[in-house]
Amino acid sequence: MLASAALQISSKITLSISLVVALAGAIATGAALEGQANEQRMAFTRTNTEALDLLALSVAPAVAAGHHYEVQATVDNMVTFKERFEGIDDFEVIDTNGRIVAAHDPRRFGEVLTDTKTRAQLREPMSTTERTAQHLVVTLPIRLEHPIGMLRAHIGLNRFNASVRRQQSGAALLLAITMLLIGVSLHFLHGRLVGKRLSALAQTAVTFGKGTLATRADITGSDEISELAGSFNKMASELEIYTHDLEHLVTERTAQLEEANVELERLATTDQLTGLCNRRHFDQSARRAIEVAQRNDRPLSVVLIDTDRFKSINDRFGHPAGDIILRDVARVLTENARKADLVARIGGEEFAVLMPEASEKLAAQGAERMRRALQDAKHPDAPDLGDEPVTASFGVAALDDSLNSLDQLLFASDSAMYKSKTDGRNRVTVASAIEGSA
Amino acid sequence: MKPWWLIASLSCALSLGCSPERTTSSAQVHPTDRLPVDGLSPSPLRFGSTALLGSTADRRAAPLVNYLAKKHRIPTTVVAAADYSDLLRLFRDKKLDMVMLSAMNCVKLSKKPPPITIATSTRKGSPTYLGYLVTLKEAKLNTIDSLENKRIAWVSPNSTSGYLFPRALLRHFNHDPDTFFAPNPRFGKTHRATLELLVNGEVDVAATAGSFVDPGPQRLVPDDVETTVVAKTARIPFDCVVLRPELQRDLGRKISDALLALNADHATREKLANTLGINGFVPYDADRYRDVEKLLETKTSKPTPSK
Repeated sequence: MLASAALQISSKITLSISLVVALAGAIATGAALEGQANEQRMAFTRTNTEALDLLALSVAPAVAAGHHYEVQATVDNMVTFKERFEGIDDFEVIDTNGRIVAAHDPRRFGEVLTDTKTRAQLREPMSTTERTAQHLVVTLPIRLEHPIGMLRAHIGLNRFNASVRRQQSGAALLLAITMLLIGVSLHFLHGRLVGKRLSALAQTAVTFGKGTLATRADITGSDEISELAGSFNKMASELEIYTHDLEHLVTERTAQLEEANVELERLATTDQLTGLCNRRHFDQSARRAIEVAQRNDRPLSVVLIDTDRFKSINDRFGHPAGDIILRDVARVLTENARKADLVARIGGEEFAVLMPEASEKLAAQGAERMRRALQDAKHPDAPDLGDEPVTASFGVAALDDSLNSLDQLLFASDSAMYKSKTDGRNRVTVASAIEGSA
Repeated sequence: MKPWWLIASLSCALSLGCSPERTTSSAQVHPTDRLPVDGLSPSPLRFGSTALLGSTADRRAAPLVNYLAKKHRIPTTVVAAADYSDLLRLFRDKKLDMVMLSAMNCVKLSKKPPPITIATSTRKGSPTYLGYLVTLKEAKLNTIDSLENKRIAWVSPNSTSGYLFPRALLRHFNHDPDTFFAPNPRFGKTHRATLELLVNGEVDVAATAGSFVDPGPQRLVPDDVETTVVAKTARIPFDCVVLRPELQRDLGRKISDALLALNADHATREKLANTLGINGFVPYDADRYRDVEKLLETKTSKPTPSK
């Protein structure tokens, strides 16, 4: 569409130029032809008048003598051979009485002209030339010592005008041919030098615009269009580089953003100290798991773990040692949990394990395994804690009709864990075993 | 076809079409080109002539015969004919090799095959003459209208200037030549006799050729008789020169060239003007005889029988 628009514009320009050239040519030729026609008219009038003057002179003696036959003979010769009077349509030699002595048509012999004009011309003989639409009427006095008549010729202008028209038509035809050739040449040149190249340039722009950034205009030369194509190619190159850089930057930034999002997600769901899930993540995961288990009528248990005497460790060995202990606890719990279990740090020294597909009994077994592992665990990075091992109290609660929400499970497991604390720590207590539990 | 070839061809065609001067593909055909190459070459050449104005055919044709024989080595003899009709008959009967026919007879010649007409005679340089309607001055008949119901004398129905053209002249002025004049028109048969009818008062108006009225060697009206030329006809072409179609082409061309060359022989011209009444020749042009042809085709040109 762009290409055709470009062509239309340039075609209009070409057409306009052609029209202007044609108009200027027509005006100039018209003026020249009109001038030439005027000159020809003047020459035509002059030639005929001169010839008629000679004729008037030659017939004068015969007119004076009343020898109409001699006058007519002269006229006949003139009419017959038409050597110098080609265009004469009518011709009359009139005596002073207005009587036709001789005429182009001999049958007019003897005709007496009584019209006012002829009478006036006979009274005051003088040379006159009058132009009508079809004739040049030349009137000349016939004199010897005094006027003895007059000669009047009607010179037909049709043939002359036709000749002028032929010349003008010929010139107009030549002009038309010239204009046609100029128009065709301009069209050809336009097509070759402008239209085709502009179209190619426009097509390149269209292709480039559709995303083929490697496209370049293949236009050679040293004119404005070549310059335009060069500028376009330069712009396209710069635009391609810029776009490439921009894409690279966007990719990079997107990756960075994704990394940041992952990190953010990780930070949002992970406990920084232990690398375990944090409370928020644990809650979200536990709720979804509870919904799935309830919908599928599958078992699920939650184990709550609290590190025994952790405040004492912190107080005695400092927070860095406490942190080491907490990381060790987290590692042991993770190592001893099932793959499907989710281990989280939900408070200072509190941990929780979500155990999908685990009944209370199975969860209790798992908790016991973890308790023992923790009890036996070494803490190489921690200061010497003496003979007292790091232990934890476990509370287990399983999903059932009475414990059917996370809060209830946490509450129940917390109660069981508290029971383990009160019973002497480092043990596992299941919620269902607590007296008075629901 | 490539567009530029089309344009070039068009331009070429147009420029040729616009060319102010066009050349014909073949040269103009000369009448004698239609003669056979191996045709007859009679010696002497038989030239037909009529007696006129009291002069014999021999005497009238003598200047022309001498001119052809002496200046162009074309031996020629004269065959006398009683009148133009007889002349035409002799020519048709192949008893003449060359003949000068009046305009009317020239047109009457068969068109198939076209006659070998080589020239038209001229007088004072003009290939045409006029017919007159003439009256005696004393009669004071000066206009055509004044001739109504007057007695007319024609030459003969076979006369161009004494019958055919004057009748056409009357029709031109909206008069019926058969009813305009008094009944029982006269036919003088010759121009001289026709003018005698006028001079003798037997008719009021006569139709004749201008040269027999105008002052000059051919004038047939006595000098003491004053006449009035009431009207003049349209131009009538002079006699045409026709060759026998069996003549040899070279001989025909030689005769034609000789006749046209006569225009430069002033002595012969002068002699001819006093005998044949013509003194030169121009190439034959059929257009000159168109009016005669048209008038002959006009049925109304037939005469009303004289009672």
